Amino acid sequence: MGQTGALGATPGTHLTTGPRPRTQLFPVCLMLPAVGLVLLVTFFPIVQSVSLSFRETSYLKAGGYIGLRHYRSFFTDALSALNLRNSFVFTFGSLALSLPMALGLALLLNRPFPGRTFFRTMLILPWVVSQLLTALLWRWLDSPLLGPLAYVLGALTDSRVDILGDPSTAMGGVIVANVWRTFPYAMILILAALQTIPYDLYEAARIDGAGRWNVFRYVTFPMIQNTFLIATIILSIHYFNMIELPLVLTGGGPVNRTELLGLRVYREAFVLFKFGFGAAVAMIMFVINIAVSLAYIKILRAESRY
Amino acid sequence: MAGKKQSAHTAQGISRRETLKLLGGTAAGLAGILQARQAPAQAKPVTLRYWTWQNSADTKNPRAVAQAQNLAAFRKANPGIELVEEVIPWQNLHQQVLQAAAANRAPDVSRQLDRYILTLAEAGAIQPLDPFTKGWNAARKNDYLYAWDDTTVGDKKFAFRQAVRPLNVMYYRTDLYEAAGFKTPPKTLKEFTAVSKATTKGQVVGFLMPFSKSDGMSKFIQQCPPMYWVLGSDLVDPKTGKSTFHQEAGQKIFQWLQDMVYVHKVSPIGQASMDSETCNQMFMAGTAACNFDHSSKWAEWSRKEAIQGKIDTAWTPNFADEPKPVPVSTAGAWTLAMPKGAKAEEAWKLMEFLQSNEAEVTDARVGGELPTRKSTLKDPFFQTPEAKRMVGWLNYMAENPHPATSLKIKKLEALVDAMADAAQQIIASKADVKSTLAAAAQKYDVQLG
Repeated sequence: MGQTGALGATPGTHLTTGPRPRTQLFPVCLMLPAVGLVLLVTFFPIVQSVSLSFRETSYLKAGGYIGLRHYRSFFTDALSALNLRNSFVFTFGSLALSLPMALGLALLLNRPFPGRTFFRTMLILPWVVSQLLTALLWRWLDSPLLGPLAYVLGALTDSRVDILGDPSTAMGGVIVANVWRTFPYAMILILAALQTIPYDLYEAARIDGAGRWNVFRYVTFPMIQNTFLIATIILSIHYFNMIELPLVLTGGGPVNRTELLGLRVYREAFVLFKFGFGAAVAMIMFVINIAVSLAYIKILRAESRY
Repeated sequence: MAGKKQSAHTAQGISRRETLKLLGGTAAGLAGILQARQAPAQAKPVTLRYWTWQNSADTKNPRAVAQAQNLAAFRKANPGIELVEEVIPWQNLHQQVLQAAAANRAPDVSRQLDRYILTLAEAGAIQPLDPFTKGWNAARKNDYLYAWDDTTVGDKKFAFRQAVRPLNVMYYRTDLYEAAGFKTPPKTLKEFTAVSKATTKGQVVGFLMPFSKSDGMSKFIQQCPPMYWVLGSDLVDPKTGKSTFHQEAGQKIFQWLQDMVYVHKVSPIGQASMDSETCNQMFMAGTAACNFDHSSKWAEWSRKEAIQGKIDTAWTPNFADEPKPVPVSTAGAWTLAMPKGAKAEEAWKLMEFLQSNEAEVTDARVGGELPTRKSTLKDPFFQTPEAKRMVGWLNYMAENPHPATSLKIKKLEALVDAMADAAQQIIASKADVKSTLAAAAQKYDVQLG
């Protein structure tokens, strides 16, 4: 009797040859309720939104088919260009700050030092806080007449600092609040990946005479790059679709400088009750999300070495 | 013998009489079982869902305490109704009712800001109340301190106010005003500008008006109508519905708001994206010398330990720069509406109770809300020193009336959106007032179709 593998097949034989076992239907049956639920709560609303985006709407009632009118309105509206620009500035601005910060802190927390567990816990805390609370906290911190941050900056510059009220600094204020809340997520993922790197690789690199930078460049980063890219994809989608934080912090203002696409969808659909137009903007966001995700996945596949 | 009888029964079958007895007994038994099953169903109370933004558990807020007392009284008087209070943020109540009605999950009774009644009625999210009031005589209909038409759409009644309130109340910090050398509140725009400049010092601003879209620029939209009225204008033309907020009066108002930032250096640029709540917090903290809001806030703010004895109220200054009182603005009060699909009979019971004299006295005594009904004013509470300020407000409303024109504005949300865009540009980007307002007016008019 030869040895059998984990799946009961003799090593060297193809698992797909021979008649398909009937028992394979069983796991499919088990998955069906979950798949059905996903289809119901995910695909049904998407189909509904697609349908709504091509229709005239009056409050929540869908009317006649109007073709691409909502889409044309979006692309000819001056505010849409600003919304798109804001969304990309917010997404990439947040990524540019949160990812290096997460990487740096993960590298630090991966080293042994006294109180490491305490610092790990403390640094993860902002991720636990809800977007709403984060927004309220930063609104208070940035408040020109109540907030300690504005007070300190005002004392340093001898002027009334108004981060969220000034059109030139408002987006920066929203990005900082967002980074504060979301960097721990990337940090945890990267830290977990760092802990899977075999120590032998570092030893081998050092024996070969590699310095700190080269160890990071040729050992550490290649080993964590998949995780890094996954964190990038997840955070990109999270940032791009954000509503609550800018809504509570600035309401999209001043002068629409912090109105992201997600916030525009919310405003059009739930404030102005233009559900058809809101659905069209949501569809545009959906397409952008898919495109960005596909681009990241392509990069991930091309760069994947381990 | 018994054994013989038994065997006879078995052998000959059951007699007709016994069969009837058996059937009768079975029927009685089944009826008993059914009755027993139905009995608890009849005893089970009808669940009534009430949407409100006030949390009755908030014991620090006088209006929430008044609500808790009223709901408790209703429960006691109606043991057959299980009243469930569901708390929704005030900024979202109308949106939530609209969505819930579309999903057939709307509550039975909902508090709604009066300015959203038109939208909700047009969307079919709330139902007319005329079937319940058709038996009312003229005296009952005329018992209200506000115009019956304030909560009608077309010729149908869609809501009842839960309280009346003057919106153009100026709250000011007496400590900051006195420190700046002012013992009496300003009456004209010129006086107000002067006192605002004098109280602006360090971290304190003399005046600010928040323009964030996050709460629908609510403070400004409640405060601005009297500014327009005294200048002989309004937000929209009542006949055509087209915007007029950009005309001469509007230009004067927004130019003054811009000057308060850039010329008089009083208001912060940050008010462009500030919401009402932050503005209120600043007033509490003493970093804003005055704050415009509605009368009901007095009960809450005057009892706060940190500012007790340091605040007082006056009427908003006259924008026409005349020392006479401005017409009262009453649009911005909470109403009771019955959403589509409500358990109408029980819902009406709650609505009737909440506007009863008993409930209104509780609202006034505990929550500081002004009653909606003339008959409630006969209560001895309104003769007490405690009610003196409230009676003063009611007298002001009676002496300086004005129709609540903003309640009849079609697509008010679109108007607010357009005006907020304009206000933010004027305040934060120092945009040209005339052209910015004209662009906003055009944006709104286009949406009217």
